[in-house]
Amino acid sequence: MASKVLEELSENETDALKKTLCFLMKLNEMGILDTLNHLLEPEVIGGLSSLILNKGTLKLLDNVDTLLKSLGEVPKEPKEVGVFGLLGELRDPDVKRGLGFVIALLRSLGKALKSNFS
Amino acid sequence: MAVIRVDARGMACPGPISALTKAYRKAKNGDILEVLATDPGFKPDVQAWVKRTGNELTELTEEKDYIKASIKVTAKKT
Amino acid sequence: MKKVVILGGGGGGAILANLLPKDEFDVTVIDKKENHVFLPGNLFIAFMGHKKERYMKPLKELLKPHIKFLHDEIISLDLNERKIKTKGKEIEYDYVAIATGAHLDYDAISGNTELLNKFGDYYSGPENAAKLHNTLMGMKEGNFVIAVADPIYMCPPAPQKGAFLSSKFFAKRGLKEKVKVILALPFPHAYSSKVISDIIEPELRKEGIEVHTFFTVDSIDTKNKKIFSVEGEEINYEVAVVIPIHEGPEYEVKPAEVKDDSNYIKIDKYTSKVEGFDDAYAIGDCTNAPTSKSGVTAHLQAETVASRLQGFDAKYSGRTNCPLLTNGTGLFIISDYDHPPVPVKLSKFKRLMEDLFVATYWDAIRYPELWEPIFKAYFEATNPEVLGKEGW
Ligand SMILES: Cc1cc2nc3c(=O)[nH]c(=O)nc-3n(C[C@H](O)[C@H](O)[C@H](O)COP(=O)(O)OP(=O)(O)OC[C@H]3O[C@@H](n4cnc5c(N)ncnc54)[C@H](O)[C@@H]3O)c2cc1C
Repeated sequence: MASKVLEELSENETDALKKTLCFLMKLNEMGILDTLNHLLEPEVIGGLSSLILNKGTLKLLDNVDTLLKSLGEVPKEPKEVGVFGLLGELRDPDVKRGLGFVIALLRSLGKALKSNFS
Repeated sequence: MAVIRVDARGMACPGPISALTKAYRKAKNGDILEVLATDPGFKPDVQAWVKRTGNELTELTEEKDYIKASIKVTAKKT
Repeated sequence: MKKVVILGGGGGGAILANLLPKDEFDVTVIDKKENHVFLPGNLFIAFMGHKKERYMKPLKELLKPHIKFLHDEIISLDLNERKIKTKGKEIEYDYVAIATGAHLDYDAISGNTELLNKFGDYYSGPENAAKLHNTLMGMKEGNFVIAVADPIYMCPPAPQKGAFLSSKFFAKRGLKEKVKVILALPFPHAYSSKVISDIIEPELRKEGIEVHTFFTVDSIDTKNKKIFSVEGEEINYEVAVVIPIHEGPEYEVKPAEVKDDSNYIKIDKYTSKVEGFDDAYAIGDCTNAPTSKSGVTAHLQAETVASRLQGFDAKYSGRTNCPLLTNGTGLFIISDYDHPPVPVKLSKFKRLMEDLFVATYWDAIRYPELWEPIFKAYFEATNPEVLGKEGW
């Protein structure tokens, strides 16, 4: 039966099959198959999912393209800004918006840290 | 002629205008449609609706916890 | 063993069947169709030219091996006698779950059946979606109209999805200047919720999609190619899709009082129990629950009923998650019984998430134990209460 199946496989397929078996044997010898088997429980998957899928990560991922796009637009050598220059820059609406975002981020980071340490 | 009461209180989605539309499909000229709604967006929406459809808004009042609109059906094509 | 009979093996029925442990329940699913159809796929067939086979699978293969599948049409259900009649059989049960979806009544609007036969559409099934694709491939100019016959229909953002996807399709065919996409809706704005409407209106404008508000289809004159609205206006079309009037089950259900004016099964919106019965449930598009008719609703109600049948006090919150797709981006319409849709901005990431939901659909039905915890994490993270006014 098994030999019949093997006969019907092309050379490429036999090769892929051999490699897969070899890989599986290694996984088995190292105990990875057993470990994976035990990990595949609804509780573990649920715990892992809620760690990865939460309000913060979903918001972050939602903004990834905006963040990456704006990173790409930062000039290679941004000009230096001194204290007085900074005051001038603060009048720029784009800078204001960016600063607002950073401050909101700092505030919630501070809040999260406070509750972590108290 | 009939008074048709449409109670759309507590209805947010797709909203009281949808309930009104459903009743209007079956109504005849001369009928009164009395709509009760809690959705605050209903007031401007129903005003826009009568303007567009050419029916007559005979009453639009804010009761304690709901909005009441009475519409006289006049614009149905027969 | 408790004998559970599930009427209909669509999105809701198939998941419910697969969720019931085999050592406790003897489960039968009855469906008149051999193939389970993934209805959202209609959009991709009609407007992106996907093969229809991608969105159909034999129901038998989707159900776990221990589940019995009866391929037959349900004729009547007697809740007092606990009896189901199909064309060929009579079946008794301990528990019944009604999951036969919405009945699409094309004949209720004069001219709509003719329109369907001529052009196809993206509501009735993959065959008609493929037909609509052919129609659109042959279109050279004029108005492509998507209109709605009644404010209650499956997947509330589907007209807008159709408009965005068709607009992209015509642009690809180089017909942007020649074909105008027109969206005609019963609502005061471009979406039934103002919050969502404000988000998508600029996109609709950018795409050049014309929106007619307060337009509920009354009748169609197929000879002169005109659609008339209940509100007293008319639109000319070259090709049109009119989303038909939806209703609850057509077959007889006893006692008759469990159906409402539109034939929908009256249920308790939290437990999905049929009004007045402890051994009958209804889930998905066939019920009168005041939430969107969507696959997500059917899925979450199936989970609720599966838990209840196993003795837990599970409740469905009314949560929706209907995707709205534009040209390359997407958003989800997130609401529940206590919260109207929260503001959700369009993004590429949400479009990717929707594509992931579509790609994993078959696995989510076949292996609900694996997917339940993952979806649960997502639904918790995006609970309208958690997202709040600020949205996502
Ligand atoms: C274009 C489109 C896009 C959509 N997009 C989305 C989306 O993105 N997300 C989302 O959540 N939802 C979406 N939906 C909605 C979703 O597909 C439905 O809400 C969902 O399928 C409802 O599931 P159900 O089990 O209640 O009914 P259905 O899936 O309709 O299943 C009902 C089953 O019952 C069977 N049946 C009916 N009558 C009988 C009878 N008398 N005898 C025997 N069998 C019978 C039918 O053959 C069918 O298999 C979309 C719908 C459409 C049309």
